[in-house]
Amino acid sequence: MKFDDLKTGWKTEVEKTGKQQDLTRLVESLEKETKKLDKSIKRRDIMEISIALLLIPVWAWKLFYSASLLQTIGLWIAIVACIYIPYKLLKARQVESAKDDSLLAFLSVEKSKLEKQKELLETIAIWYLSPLMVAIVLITAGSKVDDAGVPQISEQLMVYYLFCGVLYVGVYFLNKRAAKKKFAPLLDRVNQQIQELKSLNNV
Amino acid sequence: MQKEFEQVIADNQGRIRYIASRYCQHNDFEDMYQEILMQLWRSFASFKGNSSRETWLYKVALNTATTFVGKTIKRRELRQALAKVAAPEGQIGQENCQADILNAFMNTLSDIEASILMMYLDGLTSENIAEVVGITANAVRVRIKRIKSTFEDQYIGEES
Repeated sequence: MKFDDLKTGWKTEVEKTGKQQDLTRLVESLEKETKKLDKSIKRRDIMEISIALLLIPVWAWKLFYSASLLQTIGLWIAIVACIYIPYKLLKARQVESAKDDSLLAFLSVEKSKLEKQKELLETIAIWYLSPLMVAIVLITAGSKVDDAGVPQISEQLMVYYLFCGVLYVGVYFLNKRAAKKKFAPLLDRVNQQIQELKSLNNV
Repeated sequence: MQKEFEQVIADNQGRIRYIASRYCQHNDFEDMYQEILMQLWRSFASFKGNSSRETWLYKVALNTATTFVGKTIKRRELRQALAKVAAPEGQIGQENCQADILNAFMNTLSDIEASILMMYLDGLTSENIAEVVGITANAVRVRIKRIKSTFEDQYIGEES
């Protein structure tokens, strides 16, 4: 058997179409699915941004009735976080376009996309959790202060902080795990393929 | 446009299925196949015919398959490793049809090499393959030569 005899094997494989499909129905469902997917991505983007933007007037309004300096600082942090978080999410989604539509160019863009997504998950404590946590603590603690401006923390509030703390740790580790389990293997694989393609060029 | 696309799928169903099956495990197959079809449908409207239809199809299918978020990245590496172990020299001669030999040989190749081989067997020129994967045509020729020599070492050597 010669190497080029594999072409016969290839032809057999390619002509094996598997189960017969109703192509008209298939294309119709593809069109439907694509539209549905595009809509859900759009909806997700709008939700992420609008929730943050809608909260800004709430925090701003609260500023006029702030009970203490502590609460004022907390409200300002919340306002800045509500602007910064959607900005950070949108920025992470922006990737440079591929220089052509080859596999190598595509993989390079994918690599940069994956690195950004991975970094986003790994640093969630810095850009998402911590600012919100600090804002929550300052806003709630600053809502009841004595004449000297010292916050009066009730038992109920302590339980609430404990709950927030557990949530903080949980979200942090879940994201860290997602970065490790979901993005790291894919990134390794993309890197490996880029290296292989580059090494082919160096022959 | 829908009718034209139906024709493309009808003509290339086997190719797409082969690529999908090469890049994933059996339980991920339908998901990957659908993902490739979806990406083909998405890019069909913008396909202007600057390259041949086969080149376009391979580009979209391979780009989708290589970055498909399957559950089986690790298992695919395992499959490659197993293919090398499961096809020791003594057993190679037992494969009696060319399609089986092709599949067994494909499993010993890396994804990039397998993609190059698929396009070569499909009659794409080195220039077209180079355009799909993004390397030089000369590099493609060198790689095909190496794949050929590996094949000959494994299979033809056994026959003589």
